Amino acid sequence: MTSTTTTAPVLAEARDTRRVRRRGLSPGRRLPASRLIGPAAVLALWAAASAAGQLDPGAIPAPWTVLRTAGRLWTAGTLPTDILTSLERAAYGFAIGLTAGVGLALVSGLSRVGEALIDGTVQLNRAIPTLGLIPLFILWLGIGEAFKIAIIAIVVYIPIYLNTHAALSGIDSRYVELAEVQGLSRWAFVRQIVVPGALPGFFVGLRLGVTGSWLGLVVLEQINATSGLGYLMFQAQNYGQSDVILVGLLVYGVFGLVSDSAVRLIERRVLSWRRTLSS
Amino acid sequence: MAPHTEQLSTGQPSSGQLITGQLSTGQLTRPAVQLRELTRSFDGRTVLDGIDLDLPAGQFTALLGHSGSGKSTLLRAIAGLDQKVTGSGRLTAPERLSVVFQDARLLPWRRVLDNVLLGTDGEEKGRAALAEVGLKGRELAWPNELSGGEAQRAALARSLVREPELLLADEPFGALDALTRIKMRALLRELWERHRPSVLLVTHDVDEAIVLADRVLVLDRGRIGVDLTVDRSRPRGEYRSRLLGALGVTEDSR
Repeated sequence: MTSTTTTAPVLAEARDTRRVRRRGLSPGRRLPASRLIGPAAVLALWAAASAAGQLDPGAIPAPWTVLRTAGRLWTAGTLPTDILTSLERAAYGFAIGLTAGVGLALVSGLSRVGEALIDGTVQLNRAIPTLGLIPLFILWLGIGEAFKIAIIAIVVYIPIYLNTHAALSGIDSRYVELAEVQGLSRWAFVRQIVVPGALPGFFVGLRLGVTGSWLGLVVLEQINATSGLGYLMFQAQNYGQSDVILVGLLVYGVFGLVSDSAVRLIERRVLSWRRTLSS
Repeated sequence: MAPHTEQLSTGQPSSGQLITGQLSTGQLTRPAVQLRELTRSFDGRTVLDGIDLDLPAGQFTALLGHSGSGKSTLLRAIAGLDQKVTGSGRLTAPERLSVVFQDARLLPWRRVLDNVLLGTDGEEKGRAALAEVGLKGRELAWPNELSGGEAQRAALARSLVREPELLLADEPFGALDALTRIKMRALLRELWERHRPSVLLVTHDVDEAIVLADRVLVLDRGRIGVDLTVDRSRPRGEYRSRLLGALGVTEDSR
């Protein structure tokens, strides 16, 4: 690096000739709608390649074919029922997993007995790949809806439990001391310090859980279903309808994106006190 | 405020008799805090070694000592925050007490006014307390938006709003810059003059002790080494050298 003279007789000249420019290391200003640029580029490439006849329409049909198929399936086919069935499964499983994850984390985080009973058990459960439980659950619950919802619930509750529990046990002991000094009751302590303090961790778990519920759904519907989006795709595979498969993937993608954005929106609202840190 | 009583009575497994007193404002002759043979130890190391101490109601007392001399241990014992510490002795303290910590300890997820009202209610009282510490108009700010001095002001307001008989302050200005510290000292003295709680200020700053307190104690190896009444009309220099001497510090710069 060049050295600058500290005694510049003529200030203006020194400024002009010896200007040291620091290299900017931050990535710079964010591009508008930056999240959409990548996917849009992929879409454009796909469309261009299809139009130019570079893609085998049997393997990768053109975007417009996929859209037309989607329209046809929506009006004349079973797509609405399939979407509804899938949504219902994911929603039930997610709701049960969410309740279980938060409830167990609270019990385990707030009492030593609860921690002794629950934490080790959940860690054990986490070590077993949940999808490996499918055969056992089919034996126990039959091949109907119950086992699918149970598997989704397990996939959802684990990240929610882990992150909420970690956040609960990570609450600053200084705040506990403050609560004692201020004479807070146990209930007030939980409501005013424990729960808000654990919310950031809970939201991390929630986002993982939402993603997990779709992941579980895809696997379950592709191997053990008689209805739903996955079933639709599985049937399409048998008949070589790649456009139908792409429609299924598209719907899954939209579901995942929408639910993740919804959680993020709620997170921003609820944790608005944190925004002051990042902005 | 039941918790304080509970902490004291359930706290020390090996302790002797513990009494929690209730002082009405009329009983000014009775000491606000009374310690008899108070002993506390950590892992077999005695930190407080049989302390006898009376703090009269309404007195501003400063407690000096080196780090590790047991200042904070004493304050935490009076505050009832030492449930897990072994010890013995008798301790009487008002139920209505507040603690100001070195860090402002505001909950980042509650706005300033809600922080002030933590554990109590009465929005008007909270607003009045904030106005008194000079934070009028900042009621709805988030703690992250406050400067260090402002945060400590909010912490003072939180203590004030409970109308404490005893205010315990554990190096409350230790983390502030020198200019803010001077302003905060003046504010604390002013608040004390207006509300007249008993104050026990733990500090390692001799000048702070002399400027603020009417009585200065020096804690040395678990015992009260020096107990000095400060006559505020007299020059501070003599108190200063005496206290520094008691702390084993010599100034040879002049």
